[in-house]
Amino acid sequence: MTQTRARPLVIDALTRRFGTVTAVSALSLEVRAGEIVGFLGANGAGKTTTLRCASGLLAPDQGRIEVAGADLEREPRVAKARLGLVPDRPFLYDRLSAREFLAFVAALYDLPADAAARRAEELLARLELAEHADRTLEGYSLGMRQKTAIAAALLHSPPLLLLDEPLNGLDPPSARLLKELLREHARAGGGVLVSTHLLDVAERLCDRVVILRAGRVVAEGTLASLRGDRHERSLEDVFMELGGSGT
Amino acid sequence: MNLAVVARTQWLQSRRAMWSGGRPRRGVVGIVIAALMSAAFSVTFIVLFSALESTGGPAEARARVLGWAFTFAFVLLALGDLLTVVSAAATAPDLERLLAAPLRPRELLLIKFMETLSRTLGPVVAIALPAALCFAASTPGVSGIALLVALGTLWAVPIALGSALAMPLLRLAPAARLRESIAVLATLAFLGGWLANTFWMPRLLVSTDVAARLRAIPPPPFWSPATWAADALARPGERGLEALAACIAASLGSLLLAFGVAERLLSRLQPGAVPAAGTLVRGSSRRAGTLAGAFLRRDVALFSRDWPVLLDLAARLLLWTLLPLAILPLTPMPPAELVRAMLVTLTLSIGNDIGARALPLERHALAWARLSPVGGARWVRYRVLGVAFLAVSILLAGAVIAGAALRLSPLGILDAFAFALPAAATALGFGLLIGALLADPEWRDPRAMLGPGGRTVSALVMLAQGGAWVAASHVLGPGPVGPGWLVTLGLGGAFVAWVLLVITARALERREYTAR
Repeated sequence: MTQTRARPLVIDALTRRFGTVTAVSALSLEVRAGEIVGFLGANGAGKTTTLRCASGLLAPDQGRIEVAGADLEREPRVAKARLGLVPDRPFLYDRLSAREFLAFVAALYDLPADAAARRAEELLARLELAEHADRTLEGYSLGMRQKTAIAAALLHSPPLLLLDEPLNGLDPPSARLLKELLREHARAGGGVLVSTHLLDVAERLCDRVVILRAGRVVAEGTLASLRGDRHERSLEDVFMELGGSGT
Repeated sequence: MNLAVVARTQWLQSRRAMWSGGRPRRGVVGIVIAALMSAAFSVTFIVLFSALESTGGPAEARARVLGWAFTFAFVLLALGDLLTVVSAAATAPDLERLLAAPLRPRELLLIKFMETLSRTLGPVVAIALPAALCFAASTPGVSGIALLVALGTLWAVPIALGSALAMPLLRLAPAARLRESIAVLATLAFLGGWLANTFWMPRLLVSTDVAARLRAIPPPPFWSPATWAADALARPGERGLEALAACIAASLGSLLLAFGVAERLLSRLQPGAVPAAGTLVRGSSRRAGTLAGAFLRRDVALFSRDWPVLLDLAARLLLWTLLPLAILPLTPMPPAELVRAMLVTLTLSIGNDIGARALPLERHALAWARLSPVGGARWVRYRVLGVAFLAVSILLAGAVIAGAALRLSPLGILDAFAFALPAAATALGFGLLIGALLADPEWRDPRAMLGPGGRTVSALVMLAQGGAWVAASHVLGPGPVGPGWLVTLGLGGAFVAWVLLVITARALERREYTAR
C-alpha cells in the first residue's frame, strides 16, 4: 500500500447541488488511517453524491476534499492515484476479459506491468474469479461484476478505499470475503469509507459510523458513543432515531 | 386489467418524454426526425406520382410504385419491430414486474404494444403515410376506410409477426445476442435499400422518359401484406375489396397468432437478466505495458469483438464513399475531383461513425477518464491514437481503391489522399467532441450511441463540414490540388482539429458522472 502520513480522507464543508436541489450541504468528515467508516443514511440522503465528489466523479460546488494529503481540486492526479472506488454500478468494459480489464486499469494507475500482473492474479484468486478471468465481462453475473470492480479498486493498493453499497449482488461467502479484504486493508494502514443500508454489517464491520440526513451529518462516532448510556440500543435504533425517517 | 388506466399511464409517459416541466424533452427529437423523413419521402412520392400523372401513366404503374413504397416500409417495420420487441423483452426494466403481476400473457403483450407504439409507428408515419396520401391526392376515388385499413395492416402485421417470432427466439438465444443479430440484419436491409434508392433515383430523375421507366418497374411480391395494402388503395372494384379483405384477415390472423404465442410462451420467458455467455478470450493474460499500448490494445478489443458495431461501421463507410457516384448522373465530375469528393464523403463517415462513437463505445466505463489519474486531456490524446490510426488506414485504402478504379496516377492518388487528410482530421475532431458531449452510455443499437439529438447534430455538422470541403475541392479545379494548397489546407485542418481536441478534453474533464 502507498504509505502516507496524512489522513486518507478529509472532507471539509462539502456542498453539492443539482439544480435547485441541495444533495449535500456543508458536510465534513474524515477517515483516519486504519479505520473503516460506515456511511449510513436513507435513500437520497446524499451518500452516493458524497462518495462521487470524494472520488472526483462529481465536482463540489463548495468545500474541500483531501485524499491522503493531496487536494482533489489542486492536485487531482495525485489525489486520484491515492484512492480506489467501488461504485454502486461497476464501470466495466463488457467486451474485455477480467484479466484484460485489470491490465488496463493497472496502466491507468501507471503500475509496473509485472507487479500489476502479480497483484491482479492474487486478487482474482482471492475473489474466486481466476477461473473465469479470460471470459469477457458481458457474461458475468452481478456479483462477479461487483467482485471485478473490487479487484480494480484494490489493484493499486490505495490509501483510501471508497465503496458505494459494495455488498449488492454478492453471495454470503463473497460478502464475507469482502469484509475480510476491507479489514486487511485497514490493518495495513488504509482508510475505508463504505456506504451501506445493511446496518448489521455496519455494526460488525465499521470502527465508526457517520449518519447522513438530507445531505447533512446528523451523527458521527463509534457505536458505543452513539448509543450513549443506553447500551441496549442497536445501530438500527440509533439510525431510526437520527437518519432513518427519510431525507 | 384496467385497460383505460394502463393506456392513460402510457400516454402520460409518452407525453412527458416529449414535454414536461414547461419545456421540450428528448422525445421531441424523434418526432422532428420522423416529420423530416416524412417530408422528404413526401417530396419523392409527389415527384413520382406527378411524373406518372402528367404523362398519363396507367393505374397499374401507380399501384406498383405504391406497392414498392409500402414494401420498403414493411421491411423496415418487420426488422425494426422485431428489434423493438426483443429490446423491450431484453432490456425493459419493468418486464420482471409485469411477469410477476396478476396479468394474463395477452394483457402483458397488449401493454408492450402500447408501450412501443411510438417506435413501431415511425416508418408508417415517415414512409407509408406520405406514399398513401400522395397516391390518394393523384388518384381520385380512394376510400378513406381502405387507407386506414392499409396503414393499420402495415403496423399490425409486422409488430404481431415480430412478437410471435421473438418469443420463441428469446427462449433459444440470449436476448443480447439476438438483438445484435437483428440489428445487423436491419443494417443490411438499410444498406440494400439505400444503394437501390441512391443509384436508382438520380438516374430516374435525369431520364428522358421518367414515366416509361416507372412503368417498367416490376410488380411487388403478390404474397406480401404490403402489396395487399397497396392494392386495397389502388385497385378498383372487386380486386380492391379482395385486397381489403386480405389486409383485414392478415392483420387479425397475425394478431391472433401473436396473442396465442404469448399465452403459451410469454410467462415462461426469461427477462433480460439472462446474460450472454461471455466469450473466451485467447491471450487475455498479456500485459499492457505502456499507457498508449494499453489504450490501443483495449480499443482493438472493443472494436473487433463488437461485430454489430464493426459491420455497421463497414456498411456506413461504404455508403458514404459511394455517395458521389450516386449524384454523378446529375453533376458530372472529372476523375481527380470525383476521387476527392469520394474521400471527403468518406471522412464524413469517419467523423460521424468512428469519431462520434469512439467515446460512447466505452459506455459507463468512460467514467475512468475522471476517476483515474489519467485525466481528460490524456484520455482524449490516447483515444485519438487508435481512432486516427483506424481513420488514416481507411482513408488510405479508400484513396488507393477509388484512385485505381478511376485510373488516377500514383501522384494523383497521393494528391487526393493529402487533400482528404485535413478533412478527416477536422471530422474526427468534431466527431470526438460531439461524442464527448452527447453520448448515450445506455445505447443498445450500435447506430444509436448518441441520443436522437446527438445524431441529428452530428449529421448536420458533418454535412456542413463535408459540404465546405467538397466546395473547396470544386474551387481548386479538376486537376491535382498541388503542394501549396495541400500544405495550407493541411495546416488549417490540423489547427482546427487541435482546437476541437482541446475542447473535447475539457468537456471530458468536466463530464460528471450522475447516472443512477
